[in-house]
Amino acid sequence: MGSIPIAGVMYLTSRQEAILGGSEGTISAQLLRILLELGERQGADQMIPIVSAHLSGISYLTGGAGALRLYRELGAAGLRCAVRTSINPCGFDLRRFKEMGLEPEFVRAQQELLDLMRGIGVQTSCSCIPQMIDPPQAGDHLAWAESSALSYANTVLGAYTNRESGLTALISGVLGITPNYGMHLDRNRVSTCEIRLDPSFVPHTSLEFSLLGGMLGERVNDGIPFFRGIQPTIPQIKALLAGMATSGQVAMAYFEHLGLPLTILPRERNDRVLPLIVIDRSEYQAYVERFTNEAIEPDLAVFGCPHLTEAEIDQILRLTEQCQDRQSNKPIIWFFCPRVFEQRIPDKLARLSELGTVWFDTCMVVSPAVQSYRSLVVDSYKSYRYLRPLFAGRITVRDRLDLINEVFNGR
Amino acid sequence: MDAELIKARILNPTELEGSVLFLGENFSAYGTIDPVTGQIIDGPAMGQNLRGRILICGSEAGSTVAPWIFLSLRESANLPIALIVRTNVVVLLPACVLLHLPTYDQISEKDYAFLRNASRLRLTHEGIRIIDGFTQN
Repeated sequence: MGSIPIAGVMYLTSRQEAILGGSEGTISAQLLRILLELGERQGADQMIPIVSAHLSGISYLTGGAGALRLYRELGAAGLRCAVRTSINPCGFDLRRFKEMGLEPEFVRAQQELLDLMRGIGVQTSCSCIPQMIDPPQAGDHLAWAESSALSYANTVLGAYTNRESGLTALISGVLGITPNYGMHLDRNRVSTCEIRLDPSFVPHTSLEFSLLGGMLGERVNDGIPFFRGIQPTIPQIKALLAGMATSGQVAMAYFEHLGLPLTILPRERNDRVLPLIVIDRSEYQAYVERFTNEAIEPDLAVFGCPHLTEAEIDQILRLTEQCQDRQSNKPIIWFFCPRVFEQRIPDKLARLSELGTVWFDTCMVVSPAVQSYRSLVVDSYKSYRYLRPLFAGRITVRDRLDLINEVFNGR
Repeated sequence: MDAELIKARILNPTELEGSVLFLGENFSAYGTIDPVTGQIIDGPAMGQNLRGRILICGSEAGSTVAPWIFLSLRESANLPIALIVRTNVVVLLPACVLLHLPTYDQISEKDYAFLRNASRLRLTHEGIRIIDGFTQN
């Protein structure tokens, strides 16, 4: 009996040792000490350089007074990001926040937080799909804290990132390093269980993949599932990974048809057959009844959690090409997209804005703007999970394409 | 069981006694904790306040903003007094370091089954002792 010792002692470069000794100030020493503590507990042997960091906790709803205090301290100490550092959505559209009906106190706190971030060299990209905005290369080591994006980067792009917290990603952005453990090591990037879907259950919509992800995340937790016998599209994979990263800690998955850039795809580990999880229709139905058993006539539909990609916008636009008159008794629609799409796909955004309000820089989960509505419909497990306890009114889930079809095509 | 020492990996070892708040098996701070009031807004402890309590959960899950939630709890003077996690504390770790929050993790499944049903614990430099147990089943 007694306490368990920490895993080991990490090798540090002479510069890192000097930083720990205070050569670059007390705050830098404190930040490095946090990475060192994390690395030693996780069995890291050294720090490794990263290509980029991506931060969470950007909205004042999520970062709050705690983030404001720390960013003030970093700014006062004159620290700057050492590598490209992007951020998640904040609490409002940076150009149209006055249209969102927010409390002035919230707006002031959010603006100060963003100013402090800009002051240390953070790029205020304000999107949760950095993998679509500035995709990392296969083999890049990253420190990303958006759980859905980091899982996509590991799974689809073959990059290397642990599931960072918003705070360790910030520290890594400032110092340019991360502890070498977990998903940074090839030997840990092996599947821990195999997932098959019974022929009775064939998911089609992004919502079905999202809810399946929520269901599996609880069971797989921090494992690496290997999906066998299904070939989801990229939007479906995005939805599935986001769901698993919300209910569990899944940071990577394997899909037979993806052909990962880095080809570590063992179905067996140490000659042991992987645990098999089979999901059938009845089990799935029982799970989703938690989210869909309330008959709600929503007055607002919010789509884009995670932010809509160009492929997802294309799906919506294709569906509404032959659009009939809008059904007047249906909810108004908000779409959430990355700001960079204004330059990349302006024509598509113009068409999307004919269907509903397009917001940038923010999302339904981290903006208080949705609170002025009585009932909401969301398009993902992730937005449902986080909004349900935070939203004062009633909330349900619908596949966005189904709802758009109903609103604009009357079916 | 009461006298037995439960083994754990310890960050910021302490000597204290307190009441337990069980947060659930997969715990996401965002969507579970109101950082301004310390109220629990979802999960098995919904409606209770975490201020001054010993928090227990099975493992971390979901949102990666958890450290910011805990740093905000410091600003609103609503911090818990300790954290116990059955598996590994990773996402919350930087906040635990900065806040000097006593943090105990890597608990055996058998010991965790007792802990999650306990109502009062004593934390020591060596591990955890159950003062009052079996308040819920």
